[in-house]
Order: sequence, then structure tokens, then C-alpha cells
Amino acid sequence: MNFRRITGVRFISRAPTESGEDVELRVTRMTLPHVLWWHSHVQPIIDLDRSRADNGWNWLLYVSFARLTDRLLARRPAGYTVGIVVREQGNIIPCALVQLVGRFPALDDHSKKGAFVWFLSTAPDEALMTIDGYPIPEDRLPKRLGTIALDVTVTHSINHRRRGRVALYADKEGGDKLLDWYHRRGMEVLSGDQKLPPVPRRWFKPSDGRYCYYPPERALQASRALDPLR
Amino acid sequence: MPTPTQAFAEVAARHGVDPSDLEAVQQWFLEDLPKLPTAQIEEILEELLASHGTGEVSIETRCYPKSAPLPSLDASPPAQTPLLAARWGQVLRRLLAKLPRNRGR
Repeated sequence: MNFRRITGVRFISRAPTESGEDVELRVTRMTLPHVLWWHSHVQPIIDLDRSRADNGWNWLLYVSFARLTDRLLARRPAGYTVGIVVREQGNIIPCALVQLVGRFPALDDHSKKGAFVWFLSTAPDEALMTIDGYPIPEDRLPKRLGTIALDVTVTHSINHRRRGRVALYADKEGGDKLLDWYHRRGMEVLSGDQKLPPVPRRWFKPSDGRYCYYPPERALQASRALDPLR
Repeated sequence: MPTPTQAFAEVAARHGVDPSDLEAVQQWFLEDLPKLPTAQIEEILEELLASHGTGEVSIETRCYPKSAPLPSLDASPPAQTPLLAARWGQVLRRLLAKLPRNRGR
């Protein structure tokens, strides 16, 4: 019996660090101030690294859809920010951003719905160590940020009765390294000869062996693995 | 994942925005898009989800705000989770808050 399908799941609330002491995290809905800070401080550092899949991304364009969730768009777009909590200053330091659509035909069963990750990005260490007024020491940097950001999508899917189903396209810029990374997180890879569900993507961006997805059991396994951080 | 910035610029261009001016494109998405009828926003979302850009519009994708303050904790409340997923203490507090005699306190 998988109780988490019935009860839902809490988002991650902390991350391990090199120092051995966990750092407090908060998962919150993505808002314009998060994205403005990200785009003025984090994105310029990401853009210096041409090997990153998120090089050149523009979150100021994506956030508009995250703000439209109350308009009941059929695809249910949602945006989340994972931030480091700085209680003494009353601030949150965005360290990962996720934009997804919450209602997309599932890749493992086209008759079901799941979440589809549109954009997912984590802050490079350098960006977190060079914040004006709050530089984070190297041994206090949150680890496993990518895994935590991916868990946000699985948690969203479980909490919205999608049984943890999540799919995404591993950007070609990320090469085999990115594909392997998702595979190591327990995601299945849709082979190039398998068809996408009947959505426009099937024709504009057909399967080329870079679509990854969590079927329900894999998603629950991945979710359980991060329970100590909730 | 992901849709290139060019695809966003192409959409904004159809609404009278200069696609080579990324700041104007950003402004359109932040301020004008939400004012459109839901059906039209839906159409744009679907198009962007499927789009990988035609490459007809060439824009400089790097355009950063000069500086922005760190977001405040108060304006970033924890994302909601279902009632039963919360810790038991929180579940009880949320249930108690729903009791009629506690409403309006």
C-alpha cells in the first residue's frame, strides 16, 4: 500500500552540506522577485559556461506562465523556487528553479496524465559563494540540488493525483552526461522509435531517445529515497 | 524542455513587439500576456510547449537586470502540500483553525 499516493508528500526542507550540518531549504511558488534576483545574479554566471544546458535561458519569460495558475489553464503550469532560508536576515536565496506543466499526457501510458518539466535549473556553486552581503562558505553549500529540484516535480505530481508521473526532454546541449544523470535518478528513457502521446510535440519534436520519464513505481522509489530530507 | 528564447520572441512579435528587443519581449510576457483571454493564453502556452523556434528571429538572449535584492522570506511562503502530508503538529493546527469557533480569530 502506497500511503503517499493518498496522503501526498511534503517538499524537501533541507539539504546536506560538506560541513556535515544540513542547510534549511524552502520550496515556494516561483515569483517575480525570485526570478529577478536569479536573472541579475545567477544567470550571468551560468551563461559563462557554454557546456551547461541552461546557458542562455531567460526566466523572466517563463515566470509569466507560473503566475497564471489561477486562470485555470488546461495544462496547469506551475513554477517553484527552491531557496536557502536565511532566518537572521529574513531572506531566501533561490538555488534552483523549476517550471512545469502539471497536466500532460504521460509517456508510459498515453491515457493517463502526468507533469512535464519545461525548465529546470540549479545555481552553480560560484553564484552562491559570491552573494553580496551573504556569501555562502564552500562547506555550507547545499548538495544534491539537481536531485532536489527533480523531486519537486515528482512531489507536485504525487500531490496533484498524478501518481508521481513526470516526463522531460533532456536538452541536447547537455549531451550524454545529462541523459545519464536523469537515468541515474531512476528515470526511464523513451527510445527513439517509440511515439510520444498525440500532442503537438509528437510532430514538432518527436522522440529521439532523449525523452525521460518516471512511471509511478519509479517515481515513488525516487520520492522515498529523499524522505530523510523532507 | 526547453523552448528557446527565439520562440518566445516570435510569439511577442505577432503582438506588435520588436522581437530583437529582448527587454520589450520580457515586458510583454510579464505584463501583457496575463491580460489576454484565457483561451488565447492557452493557445500561446501550447505553441511554446511544442515550439523549438524557427530561427527566423535573431535576438541577443543575454539581457540582465542590473541588480535585484534577495527575495524576502515572508513573501516566499512554503508551497502548499495536502493536509495529510504535513507533520502531525501542523495537521492538528490546520484542523483546529477550520473549527467554527476558531474562525475569525
